[in-house]
Amino acid sequence: MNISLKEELSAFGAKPVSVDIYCSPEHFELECRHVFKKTWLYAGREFDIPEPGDYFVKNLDFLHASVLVVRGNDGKLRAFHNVCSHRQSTLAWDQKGHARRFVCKYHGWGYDLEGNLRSVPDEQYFYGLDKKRCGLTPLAVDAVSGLVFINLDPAPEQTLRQSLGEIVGRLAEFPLEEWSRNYTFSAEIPTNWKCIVDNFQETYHVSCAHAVSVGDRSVGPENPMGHPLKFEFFGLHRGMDIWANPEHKPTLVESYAVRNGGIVGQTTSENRSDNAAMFVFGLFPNIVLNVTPYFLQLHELIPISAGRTHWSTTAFFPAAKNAGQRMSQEFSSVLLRDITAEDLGILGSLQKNMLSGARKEIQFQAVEVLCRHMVNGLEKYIRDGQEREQRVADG
Amino acid sequence: MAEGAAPRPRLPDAFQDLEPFIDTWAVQTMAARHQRRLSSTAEERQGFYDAITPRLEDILKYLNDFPLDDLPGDALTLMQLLLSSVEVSLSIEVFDPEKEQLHAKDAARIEISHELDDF
Repeated sequence: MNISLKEELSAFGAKPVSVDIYCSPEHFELECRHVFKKTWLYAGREFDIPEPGDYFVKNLDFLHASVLVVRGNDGKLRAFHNVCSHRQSTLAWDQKGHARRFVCKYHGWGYDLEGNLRSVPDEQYFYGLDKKRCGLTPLAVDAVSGLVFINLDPAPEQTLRQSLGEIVGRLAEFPLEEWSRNYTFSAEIPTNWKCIVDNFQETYHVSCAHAVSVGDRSVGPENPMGHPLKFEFFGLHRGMDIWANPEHKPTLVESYAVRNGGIVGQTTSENRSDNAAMFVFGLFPNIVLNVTPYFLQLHELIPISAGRTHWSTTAFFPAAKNAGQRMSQEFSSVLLRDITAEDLGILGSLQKNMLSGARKEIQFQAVEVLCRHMVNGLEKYIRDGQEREQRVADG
Repeated sequence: MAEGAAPRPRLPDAFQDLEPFIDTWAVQTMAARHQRRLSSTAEERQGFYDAITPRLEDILKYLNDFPLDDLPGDALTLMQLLLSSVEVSLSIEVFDPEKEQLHAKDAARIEISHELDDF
């Protein structure tokens, strides 16, 4: 990275950032209220629900929300609060399944795939029950490249496509919706969700924390700190191209994996001037995608509280054509998991140290610009939300 | 053999030299292979690595002729050895024994919640 880019990137801020943004429970409350309940949130994959009646449930306990995503008889995706309109019992209890009707197991109210209330046992004893007004509560839902997103805001400010903007086209360059195989690993980390998002959107730590597992895959004499090839900004979202070291020499078993399919860290192009290892997209608020021609890696950070996060990483692959390609996918999966394991212990230490009062500020350098970009977007979102509430309160 | 017990998995004739490694390394699921890596000794991993790496060329040539959704039993056993060689290679080629020990501490906290398939 050219040092002149440092000045350009200072437009996103050059001062240290307060640790309170990362660790205070009060700030977390603001994020839930003004960000997570207002923005598009990743819910799952379309190929998990290909047929009418297929559904999955996305639980967002930290928002007290459970969302039912179902494919209707017309083939369309619909999302509802997973809550029966009668006495607010949970409607669908399985994480995934197939249904012709959703029947509440408390008193037996039945809903069709479009969310209409169809049957009420002992209906004549209700007092003027208007079944039309007692359908499931709908939520906005849409999918891009097979990735399904929902929005808990009853009237979202933007559609999913408006929000993602140019990223929609970028993702469409790869047949992501056809990559039906996935390897998922997860862990609960005693650290704020943003610290973990930040981990996946800066390369500064790679040459140090991942000196063993990543090694010279994305660090080399040409680029000793493994600076990204470029940064990009898409409204609330952001991206970077991670550099692949063309001089990386595969180890013995790795060389078989490479020969039989693309693997982690391998260049996405034969062209040396354009040799990215992966295209990273940070999707506001809590998703980071790593896109390559061989696989898609999706990091999802679901807050549990201000200081705890459920982290899951999924690698999506096409169905393997033969044993060699399958071995290559095993190699990528295992390497991704091993790289991630190196982050686990470090990330688990951040929250308690921020709460210790040792330091009041976090220092970010130019290569950590995507972390700043996220915090800037978050703070703006919270401010706008507070102002909106104030206007409503003032009449 | 006790009545009802599953027949002992076998390898294709050309790969009988790998037979001593079946019990430890021919295991189904990615989680199980990871577990074997974490619970094995450095000597066990090295022994398996030294035996299987000179055979990888032949193994891939042999297995690539089969459709993946219809592997005969002995080829499936070989496939599982092949996939275990990936876990073991990371522990030997990337992490040395000391670093592998450190790695295992953190890796054991990771839950594998979904797999690519049933190999």
